[in-house]
Amino acid sequence: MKKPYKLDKLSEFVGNDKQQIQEMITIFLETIPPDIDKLKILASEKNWPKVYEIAHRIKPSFDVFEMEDILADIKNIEKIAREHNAEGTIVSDIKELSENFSKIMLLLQLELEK
Amino acid sequence: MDYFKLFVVEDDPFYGELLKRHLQLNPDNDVFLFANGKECLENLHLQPDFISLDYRLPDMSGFDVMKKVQLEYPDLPIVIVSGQEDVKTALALLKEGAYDYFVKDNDTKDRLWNLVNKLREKEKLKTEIDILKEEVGVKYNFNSIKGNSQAIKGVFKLMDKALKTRITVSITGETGTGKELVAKAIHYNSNRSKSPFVAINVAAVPSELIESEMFGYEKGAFTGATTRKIGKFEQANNGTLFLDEIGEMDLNMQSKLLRVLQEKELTRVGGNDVISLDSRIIVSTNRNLADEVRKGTFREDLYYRLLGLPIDLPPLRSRGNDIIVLAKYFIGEFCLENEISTKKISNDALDLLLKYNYPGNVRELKAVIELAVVLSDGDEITASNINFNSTDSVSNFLIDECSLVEYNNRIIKYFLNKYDGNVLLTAKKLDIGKSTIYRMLKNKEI
Repeated sequence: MKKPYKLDKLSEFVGNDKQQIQEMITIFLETIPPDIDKLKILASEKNWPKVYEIAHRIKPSFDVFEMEDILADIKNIEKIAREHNAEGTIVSDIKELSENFSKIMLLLQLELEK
Repeated sequence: MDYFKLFVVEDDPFYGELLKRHLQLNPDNDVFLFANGKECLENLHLQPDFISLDYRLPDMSGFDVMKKVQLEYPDLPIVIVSGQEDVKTALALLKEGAYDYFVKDNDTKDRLWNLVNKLREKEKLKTEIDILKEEVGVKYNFNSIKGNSQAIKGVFKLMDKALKTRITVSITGETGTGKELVAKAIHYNSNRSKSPFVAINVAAVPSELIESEMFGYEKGAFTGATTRKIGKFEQANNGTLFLDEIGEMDLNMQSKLLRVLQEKELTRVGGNDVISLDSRIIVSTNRNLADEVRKGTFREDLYYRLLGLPIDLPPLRSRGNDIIVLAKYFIGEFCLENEISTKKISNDALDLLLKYNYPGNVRELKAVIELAVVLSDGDEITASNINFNSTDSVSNFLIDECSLVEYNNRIIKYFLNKYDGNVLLTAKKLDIGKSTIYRMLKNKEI
């Protein structure tokens, strides 16, 4: 099965150093989940500027892991939050993003055990 | 070179850490990561060499951080890194002094890496230039002009006066007296020393090129002008322009020069833009410009504009014991440059040096000394190592300072040898009586 992420770009960033790759995955796994949780809460509060701010901030991190599906989701959330015009779908979009990310997290955890 | 200090200001902890680690792949980069604008501003005392600034920060915008940094470090290169491509914002940031604007994409890593390398190289070159400038300044301080004679002390006094104002200085003196050295010493000891000293030898530039050489030209100004060229005047802006051999300038160019000096502005050849100038002018010549004015080969109005503070450099032959001071200095300098132990100079060699009249002045003395060092075998330079190769044979002839009678005898002997002892021919050539020569031969005077 094709992995929903790639480590090539990350690897290039840190000079193909395995230890640094694992350390960066750890940082990613520690910092992104709380932001996704925040997105859920802020969306339920209809705080769209804050939703936009967080989506905008974490977007490049997903790009580093080349998580294409998640990247498409977060870009969509960012766009909707900025335009404040699709309140109905943004909550479900964030939920979907969260579920997809949970699956990827498990796979990334395995990378740390290699 | 010391560490290159980089600030990465990025509110996403993962992305910030990633940039930090990437830039740290070069061990000479010292990278500091800050999560917001406040932290960045609080740490400016660390004196970063470069800042990578996220445009959207939790506490303030990248724009505001940049403006605050610029108050303290107006020349610090700041790159704004943004998650969103926004041409309007980018243009506004660049207009306000951002060094560059990047969008976080696949190229961010490489662009940042290349930019930092470029800045490091620039910084390295800047440091090298500063060091060289300092070295040049030391090389051309007043101590670079050797001598204790009254004649040279008078020159020092005038040079000192030249430092205090931006008055034009006109230096006259025979060839080899050190006109350019004096010009450089004035520049590097003045408050213009951090700006360029630009020299142009008017005699060395063909008359058809002198205008473009001095004032520059625009692309397409004439056939072959494929790019814009900045002229010597502009290069010397805020610094000093040294016009060597000004007496050789033709009348047409003199009128153009006069206009530029009067207006303190110029237009490049083929251009329309008026460029303001602020440079000190120092001119030199070995001609007597007042005579040239009388002859009509030098404009009177330009002469008075350039005269400024006149400094007349004395010929070496009138500087007495400065010859010894300079000779010893040149021996030391040459030995040091060539990594040989320094040599002494004998009294008879010094006597010989003092008797000579140096038509080539200090430049000639230097050449004579360098040759003497090379020719000397032991640790002392003797009279036999001193060779004067002046093109002025009369000067060479007079070096021994003999009496007139003795010179007479020498001349007659010279011609007798030349004409194989033919007394009649010698007498005819020298317009003297043949009996005079016979008498001298009889008395063994010759």
